Amino acid sequence: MARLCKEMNSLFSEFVLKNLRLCGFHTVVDFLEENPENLVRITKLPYKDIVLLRHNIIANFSAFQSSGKTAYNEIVTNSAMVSTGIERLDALLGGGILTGNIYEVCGLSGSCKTQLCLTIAMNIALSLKQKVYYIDAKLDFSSRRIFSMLEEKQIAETDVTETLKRIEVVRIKDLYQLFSFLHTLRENLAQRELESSFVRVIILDSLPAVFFSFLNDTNNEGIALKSQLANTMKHIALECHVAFLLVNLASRHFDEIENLPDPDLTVSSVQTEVVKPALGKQWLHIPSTRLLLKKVESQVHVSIIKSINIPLCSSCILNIKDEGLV
Amino acid sequence: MFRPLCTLPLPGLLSSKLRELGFMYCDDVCFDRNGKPILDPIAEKVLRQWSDEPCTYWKELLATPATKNAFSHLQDECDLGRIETFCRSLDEYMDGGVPLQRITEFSGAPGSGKTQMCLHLCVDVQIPRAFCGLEGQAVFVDSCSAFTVSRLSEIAEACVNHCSMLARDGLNQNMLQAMKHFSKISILENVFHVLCFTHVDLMASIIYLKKFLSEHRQVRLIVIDSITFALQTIDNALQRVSLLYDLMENLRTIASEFDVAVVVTNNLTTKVETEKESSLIPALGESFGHSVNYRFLLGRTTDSNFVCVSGKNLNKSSVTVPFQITRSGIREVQNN
Repeated sequence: MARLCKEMNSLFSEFVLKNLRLCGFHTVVDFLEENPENLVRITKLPYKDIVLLRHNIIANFSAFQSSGKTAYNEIVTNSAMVSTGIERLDALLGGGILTGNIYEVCGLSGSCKTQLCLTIAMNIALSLKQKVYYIDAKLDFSSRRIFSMLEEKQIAETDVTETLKRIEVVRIKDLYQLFSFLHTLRENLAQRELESSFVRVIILDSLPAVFFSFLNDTNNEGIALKSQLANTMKHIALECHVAFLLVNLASRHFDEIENLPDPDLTVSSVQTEVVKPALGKQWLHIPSTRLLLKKVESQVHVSIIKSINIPLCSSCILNIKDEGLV
Repeated sequence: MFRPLCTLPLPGLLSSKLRELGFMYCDDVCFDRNGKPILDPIAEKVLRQWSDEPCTYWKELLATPATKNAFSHLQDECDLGRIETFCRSLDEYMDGGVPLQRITEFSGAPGSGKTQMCLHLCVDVQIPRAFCGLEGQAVFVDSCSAFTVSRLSEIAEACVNHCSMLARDGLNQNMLQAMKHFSKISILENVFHVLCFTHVDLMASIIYLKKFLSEHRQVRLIVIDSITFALQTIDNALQRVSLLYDLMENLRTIASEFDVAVVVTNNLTTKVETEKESSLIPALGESFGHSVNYRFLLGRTTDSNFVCVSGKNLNKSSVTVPFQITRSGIREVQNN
């Protein structure tokens, strides 16, 4: 908590807290920002007590730096590369989905984004026998599709049941429910670190479905909540060693690109179609890797449009089959 | 990690009051002491202005949606009711018919059979349980005045005749009993018609639908014909998009809470292509497809022959299904 209260330190008595609040100091940040001499005058505590309180608060609430080597060792010991089960996609991603990251899949309507998510969820639950969380914001999760995909692969009935039981589906109606779920999930994951059925991948389908009601906002509430969401997801990804796979929309725009003037000194411009991910410029920076899907007949072209370690414009082609995306 | 107060659906005044008093995170307001959640006394005083039971109110705000595994979902999905369309290939394609608890979109050019499909579904949803129907009522939200009672009664009469023939041939007691209450008049009585002229009417009717449906639990179908028409009265594009999403969010909640099928009709608009010929795509943008579960494009080939192409269907690949619209409504194509 950020609000000053007596649970933080025994020196924060009722009298001290009342005086602080009367002068407008409610949170730890207010306390730290103020001059210690002023605080002595307000709280009537001796100077050394104020200094002790400050050190206490800093020890409990501030961030600590660690060396790059420690951070690297932590990543190496704790993160995992989760295979998506789709060979070509794994090759494109350099092995699979790395925990601690946020992946985004974007594409136009009908470009098989949900199909991809269902295929990945099924593969992880089936081959890796891990639990997968599927957060469904638009009621598009289809158990029947996963069932038919497993049937096409000719998996035994008991295995089919076990696989389906490993995929946990949450139906959320708005952004606030999403926050509630993420915070509860974080608490559960932190407690269950040692249990065998841990979670490595959380799929969110889809993000624009919860943010579109904030489109016409005048007080920019949507932007603030987007930042909060990004913050929460990154924290969970790093602390609980999971990876998020988000589904985003894309929209078409026409950009005019001017060609170089040719010898007759006429400048011609060409209109090209540009496909941009939805949710605005702020969201462009949030995921660590962004995949663009494009459906061409019965194939899906997957290309990388943002990545830290994979070369851009690398792509692969997946086939849409009855057993999923291959 | 602490959860900030701004991520809770608090009323504006309440959140500003709490912020003034220095409450930034949920943990500030309510913390666990020995496993029991206790509200901060100052926060409790503020909350009491909004609710007599601050503890329960706070718990409701923090309510987490329940998780269910895919196996239970499979059982639910298989039990999902469907509204038959009387055209076998179309029904097969839709896994039995238009599904309940989902939003289905029919788009097409004027005269491509969208309203006919909607009227037909209004009749089909009322087929008695003895004939494997849903025996439900229908709500027709009409924004383009395409609803004609005479056409509805024509379709209703044909359906009643079809069912009575089945009952007579089958000599099934249940069917004969059901036919006593199933007539043209009863079908017309079970279709509720709502006329909307502007987007305000449309939004108001959708919000009122929640109350209406809790009183009329037999409703199994809501038709909105057409959703584009009512939104054309808005000038500001951003306002139109945000209203559309509010509408769709409300419809989604209604569909799952009251176990109804929502059918929406849409117009077509031009998609300007740079190199190729311009094509026609469903209106309201790419992101509208995001809010609906199933998209179907209807088109007319000849006088009475139509086709249905699926634009978005999670379980099957895209296929063209032909059907006919006759005097009795939607039927299978008769090969002569």
